[in-house]
Amino acid sequence: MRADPGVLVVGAGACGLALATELAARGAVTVVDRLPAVGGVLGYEHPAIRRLQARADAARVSWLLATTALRWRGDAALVAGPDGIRWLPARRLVYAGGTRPATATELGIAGARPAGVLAASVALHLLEAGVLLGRRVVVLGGGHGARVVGAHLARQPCHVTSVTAAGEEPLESADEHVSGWRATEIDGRGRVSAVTLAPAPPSGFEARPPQLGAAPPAPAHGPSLRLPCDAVVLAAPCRPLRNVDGAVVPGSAGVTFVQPDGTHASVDDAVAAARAAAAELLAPVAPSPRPLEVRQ
Amino acid sequence: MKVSSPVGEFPFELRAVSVRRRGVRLEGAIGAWPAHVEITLADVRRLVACLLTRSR
Repeated sequence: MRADPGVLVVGAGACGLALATELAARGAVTVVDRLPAVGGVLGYEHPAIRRLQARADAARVSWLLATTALRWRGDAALVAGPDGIRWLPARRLVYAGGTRPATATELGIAGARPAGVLAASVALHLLEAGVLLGRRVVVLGGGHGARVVGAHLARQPCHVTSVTAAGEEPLESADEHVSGWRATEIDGRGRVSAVTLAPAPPSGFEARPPQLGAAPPAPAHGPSLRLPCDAVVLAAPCRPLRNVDGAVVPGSAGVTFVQPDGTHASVDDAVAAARAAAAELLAPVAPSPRPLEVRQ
Repeated sequence: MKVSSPVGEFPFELRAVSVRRRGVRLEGAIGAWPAHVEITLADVRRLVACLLTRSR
């Protein structure tokens, strides 16, 4: 009789650690993360992460840190780490890889991609290091990422314009607000020089990225607004990160996704989602609350 | 010790120190990444210069 190859959890953030601990009650669990330490966006020193790691260690969870999961074939994952590249057998891959910033393409923004256009996460890192993003900064989008970036920008000698679609929360700390509009184009050679805006569609609209082979979108007609700027922060709600080949789309064989749906998830949210997902995996008929998106 | 990077902060765990002809080598690990730091005489000069500048 073959030994149970166990479960592979991708992501060593709060959600991944909590998932691994719950699942370890029923068999071997290995946590893979491309970063060399646990914690994800919270960092290894966060008190909640230290608690979750201690529980995972007590539950005999195995660690493969500084290791990237590259591909999933249904019964094993191809992983690359300090020891080389190898197939790691597993009966299930549980993806708790968190989120990534939405790209300009996903937001339906045309034009060049000059310097000065930054995802909120990159902008935040630069701001924390004391880098001046620009003298006229446009923040596109509301929500958690925009608020965090806005708090840092408020301490810099720059003019901040907040652009939000209908229904999005405007950035309170901004010097200027443009509500009910969305960016359609970025201009600039070398460095961004302006953003063109158009009235935002009704709430609930989401720009579709262009499809390969599809005809280019028709030029926009109607009112537009041009905002001169030298920096743009893309602060729209995040997207679930999916970067393991074979474990990208819902319904992938042997894969469970446990990720936020784009809204900001607290540590408690992440842990609750992890426990709900673990309960479903351990007892598929058991109903459970779903504070975060849980897809199998 | 702690190392800051664009993808977060990580611990630097010191495991060994060796004195070499050009300076001192600190062997350790940044989490699961094997790592080392080499400190040469030029680095010491810069360090002292920074400290003196800061104390003024």
